[in-house]
Amino acid sequence: MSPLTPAGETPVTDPAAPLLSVEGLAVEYTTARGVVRSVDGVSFTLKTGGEALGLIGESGSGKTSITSAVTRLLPRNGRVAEGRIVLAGEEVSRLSDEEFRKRIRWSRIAVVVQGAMASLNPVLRVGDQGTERLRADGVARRDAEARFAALLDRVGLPRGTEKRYPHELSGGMKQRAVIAMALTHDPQLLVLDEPTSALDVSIQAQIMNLLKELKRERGIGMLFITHDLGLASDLCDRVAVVYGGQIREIGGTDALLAGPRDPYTERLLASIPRIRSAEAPGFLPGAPPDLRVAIPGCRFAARCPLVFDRCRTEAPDLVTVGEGHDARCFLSADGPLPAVRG
Amino acid sequence: MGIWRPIATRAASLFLVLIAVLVLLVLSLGATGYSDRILTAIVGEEMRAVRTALAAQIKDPDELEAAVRTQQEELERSYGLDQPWTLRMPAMVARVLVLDLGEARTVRTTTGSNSVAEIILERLPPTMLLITTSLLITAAIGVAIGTWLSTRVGSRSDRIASWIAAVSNALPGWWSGIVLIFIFGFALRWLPTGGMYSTPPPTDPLARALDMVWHAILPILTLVLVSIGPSVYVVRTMTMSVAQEDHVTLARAKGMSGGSIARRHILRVAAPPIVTGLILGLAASLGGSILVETVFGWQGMGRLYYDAIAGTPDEALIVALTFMFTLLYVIARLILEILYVLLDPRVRTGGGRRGAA
Repeated sequence: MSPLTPAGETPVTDPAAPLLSVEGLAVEYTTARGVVRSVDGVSFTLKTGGEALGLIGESGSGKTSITSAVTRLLPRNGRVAEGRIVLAGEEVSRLSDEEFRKRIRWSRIAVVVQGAMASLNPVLRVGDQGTERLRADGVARRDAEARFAALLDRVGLPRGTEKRYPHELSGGMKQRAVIAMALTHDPQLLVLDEPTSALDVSIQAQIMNLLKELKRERGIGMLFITHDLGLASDLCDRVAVVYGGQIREIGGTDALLAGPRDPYTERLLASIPRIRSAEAPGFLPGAPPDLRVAIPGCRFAARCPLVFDRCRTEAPDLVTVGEGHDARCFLSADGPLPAVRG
Repeated sequence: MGIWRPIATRAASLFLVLIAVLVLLVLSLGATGYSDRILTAIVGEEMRAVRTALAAQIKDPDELEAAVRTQQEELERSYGLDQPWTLRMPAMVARVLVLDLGEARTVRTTTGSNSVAEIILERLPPTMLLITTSLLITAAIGVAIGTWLSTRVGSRSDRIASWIAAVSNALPGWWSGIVLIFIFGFALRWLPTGGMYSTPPPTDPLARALDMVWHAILPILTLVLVSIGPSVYVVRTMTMSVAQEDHVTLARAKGMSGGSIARRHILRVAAPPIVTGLILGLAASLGGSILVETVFGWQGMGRLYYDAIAGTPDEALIVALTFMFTLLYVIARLILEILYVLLDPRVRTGGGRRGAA
């Protein structure tokens, strides 16, 4: 097999361009009961130099579909229906699958998939899995092994881990190994899909600290999917709240958490239980909308505590409410949201 | 070092299986009185000859009866009929266990020996030819078609294959054999209808071997026909479920090529259950070979087993063949266990110490 990315070839990059720019993305799934547009008109950018964007939402909100479109890991029945994905100035959404595989996958966009526990091949040694792409790229075995061993060391795994099988590692160790794997090609962008969801809290904290260090020391851009606002605020510079396949609100983490301008964000924040507080967590009744049915108005209207007539007939657009802070509610532009009882 | 312990445990439990089969065999032959009946029949037959011979010498009826009775008692003693089966049969099984298989009463080898061991050695290769060839063909087709189907689950070809798999699984081997003989042997006259060699058999060794292969086509086809469906289906289902696992998504995200994903990340992971299915299929075709060999007049162990039970019952052959079939099964299972330990590191107990510093 010939080397896939010959040494010395510089990736097509425009220094002025953002690391990642997603423009008007729509993702559709063909199901037995028709076509479902589970992502509709999503746009965001990720700055170069190690910005982390958190994608927050309930299950089924479309956050994983968004990143799967970026990484081209949509299931067989899914496809990008509209939109452009631009990586450092290059429109990667136009590349052929084979070109994307060879030039973008792992070398520029690496992934830590959901369900860390099962993301390693059970019958191959950790080292063989960590070095397989390097080997496929034509790197000599010894060099590939040395490189991966250094990365295992960097993520805090004991020497010799590369000789072990996945079932011999704990959940936290597995997730560290997966993160080490993601770094073998020094990617520009790391997509993390709930990387800590299967881990217990103390291990979760260790992994989050590791990610923060990597972000700082390597300047890797990160897309971080979670339903945990606390985790997102810990790692991410910016946060996008996703609901019903749309971005409800996007902005700097601190500004957004301190002053949500969309009722869905506000309810999501209120639903976090607080230790040592008499206040009961807010409850968000209902379920995310069924996207197979066209919704004429606001997609959150059915569950929104602040709903009024206009919401049911007219779909709100994202409006800018502050510096780099957009929200999708007719009330967003009017300043802080009115208080909600309960 | 982690590999040997699980294998040793399995070997021990398989040895127990072997013993258990022999105990059940003793019970089913002995407690039902079948063994006594076989031996009494043999003694009765021999006594008819003895009586005629004695009658020619001894004229006095009382004297004749006394002589006959002594002869009969002697014969009964020699067959162990003077003892209850509970004493006679365990001794027999103990001999079988150390491969002292005894002598057949009616069956002979082509060279005229009546040693059961020699008879079985003569009949084993034709049976192994049928079973291993059909297993290899089944495995090759199963893996090829099964992996292909797993990429198109729910398609028309997948549905047709599922249907064929169910039919294939339900087909009795002997019936398929008869149908195939009818189609290819009588209607089309393409292939021989039975036997292992043409009559007269070719004298040249190469021609003789080719003649045997020519005769083996239909029995092998029959065995493949009844095992191919389940095999394709197992491979399809296993590869399909592995293909949906997270580590395959990760391999795809890594930018591994399609071939590498299929081999290293799907087939390699699905291999242990697939190999299990194939080897258990081999065990089934051991049983199926008894009827298929009978239908095709294939002079293998299966045909011999049939003759030993359905023809003139021959206890030594029945016991020895049951032992041999069980032994083959146990050996196949042991090979499976060893393969499993080699293929799936999770089965190796304590294997993690190697890499640790």
